[in-house]
Amino acid sequence: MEIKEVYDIWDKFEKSDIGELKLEISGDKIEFKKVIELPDDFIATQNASLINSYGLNLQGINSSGLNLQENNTINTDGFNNSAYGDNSNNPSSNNKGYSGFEVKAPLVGTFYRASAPGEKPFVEEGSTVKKGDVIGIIEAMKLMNELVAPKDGKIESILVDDGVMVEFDQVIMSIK
Amino acid sequence: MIISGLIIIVEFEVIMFKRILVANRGEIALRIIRCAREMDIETVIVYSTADKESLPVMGANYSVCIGPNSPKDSYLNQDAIIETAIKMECDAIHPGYGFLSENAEFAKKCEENNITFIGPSSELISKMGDKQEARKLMMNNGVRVVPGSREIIKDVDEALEIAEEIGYPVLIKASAGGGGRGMRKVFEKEELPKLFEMAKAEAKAAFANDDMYIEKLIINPRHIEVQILADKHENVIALGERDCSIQKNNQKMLEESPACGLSDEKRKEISDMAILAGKVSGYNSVGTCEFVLDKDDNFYFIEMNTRIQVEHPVTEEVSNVDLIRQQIRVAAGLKLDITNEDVSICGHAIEFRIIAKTPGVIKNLHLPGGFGVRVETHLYNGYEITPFYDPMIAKVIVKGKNRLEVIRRLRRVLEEIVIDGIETNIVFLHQLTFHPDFLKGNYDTGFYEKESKKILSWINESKNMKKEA
Repeated sequence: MEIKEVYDIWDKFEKSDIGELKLEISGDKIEFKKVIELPDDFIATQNASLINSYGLNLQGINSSGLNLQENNTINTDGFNNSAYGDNSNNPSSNNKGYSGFEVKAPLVGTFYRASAPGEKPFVEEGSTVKKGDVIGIIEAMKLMNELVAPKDGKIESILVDDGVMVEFDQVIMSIK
Repeated sequence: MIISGLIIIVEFEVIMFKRILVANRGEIALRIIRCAREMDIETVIVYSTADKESLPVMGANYSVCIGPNSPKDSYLNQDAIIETAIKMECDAIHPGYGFLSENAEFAKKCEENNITFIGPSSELISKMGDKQEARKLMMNNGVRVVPGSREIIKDVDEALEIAEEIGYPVLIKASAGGGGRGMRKVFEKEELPKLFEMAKAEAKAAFANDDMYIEKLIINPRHIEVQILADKHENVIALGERDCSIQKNNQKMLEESPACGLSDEKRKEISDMAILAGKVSGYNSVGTCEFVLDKDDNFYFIEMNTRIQVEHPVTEEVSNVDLIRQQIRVAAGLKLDITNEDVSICGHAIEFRIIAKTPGVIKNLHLPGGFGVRVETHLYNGYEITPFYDPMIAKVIVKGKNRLEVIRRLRRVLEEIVIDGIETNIVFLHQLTFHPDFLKGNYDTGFYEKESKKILSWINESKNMKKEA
């Protein structure tokens, strides 16, 4: 490998979106890896008053484009929700998309809509339920906990997808 | 020019956790999150509904609500915590202090689920948590312990026999105990049978275990503890001692390092004894060896705390070692990068614990700064302090070249700090810095009981003076 070739490859790598590059050309090995140390938001930008009281000015810091490694799992936007998949439940938005009685998770675990993989879901949006009917399962530590309807009514919206982790008090469904 | 056989490696492999679950709250959770961030480790914090708007929850990479306010349903909810760690793909759990930090069952659950518990093994926690067993281990290995029974006391008759041997006054203690429960002081032979039964009953109720042992009661000793740090490769170092004698109802109010009035020889003796205790117990992680010092400067091992402690910053300030970082490093299997020869204790540091006396919303917060000042707190303007958890809301740790400089600085810090909206012990602590015995470093565990009235009277005096003015 000629030194000029090394520089060319280095240049292209730097300008690309790739985080890691390993090359082997006729017995020569070369590896490049990007380590980015941009400050991401230390504190979620959802709470602006906190930022002000701390005197932090976080305008202008772009929280995307950090950490250019291939497995980008750090998401600093609204990570309380998007960490496990469901982005539609942003607590700071006023438009909840439903108005009925909230059915909240009584414990932390994985929410399932059916009794087993491949089975029909317990309920769909629009299903009629009576108080005490099983409407879902929350699995925690290999134990299946039944989620039951707290009152009679119709399932208005289902806010969590099958197989997604829910936290305590998270709204899973609404009943009208 | 041709470069052949060229290997350029621009990264290196470090065996370190990628993601840690923080199973705690308040200032210690924030401390852990800050350290993890510096080490490029992601954090997941679990929290109760009451702590939703807290600083650690905002500062972690991910946060998961695991239960309602009550600690037993949230911070003590082992299954919910393990479940979250598994689902969030955490390689380790940091338990902080209190809560599950010395719970062997929880440490075992972590081990069973392939999650590293950042602390010693569940076996070690059990071993050292059984106070009588820990005593026996120390006794058998040349660590000096408070004179007392060798084994669990079978019955009242044996208790009377042993108490006679040791000499009154004695202290009846629960082996599974802690927090002052299952403990009774006995000054005379006649009282012993009744007090023995009472202590036993209390222990049974509080810890489901009524195994009792007896120690000589040392009146108003000094409480001196040594910070140790050990890795999983049998290296144990000591990072100096702390004097934590000023306590109200067995709760520490302040801690300082180094301890006053100890000769260099005595200091080394205690330190070596702590290292020995660490070695014979096969310790790893951070730990604290607690000793009592009697009026004649004889010291005795009482117990080992197998967790990071509230007062760890005091040691950090005089030793320049980041204890949380070290704790995470050794948990990941790395060897200690400091030896006992490297340890250098410089200057003096004192920590004051600021306690909320009422719950409430912080209306105005100003934290002090300046040379030699460190504040560890989860407070912010507008934060609501709830009544469900420990009332300690901040720690101020002040360091300086010598003790007098530190005390002067402490006064300035307590005059500068503003925490409006709730009542705190700040004024009491401020007045304490003028007490002659405190200034001379001449205090023991009897100090608070003897002198608190005097300090409170100074506060009332100055209030009355203000009214008259």
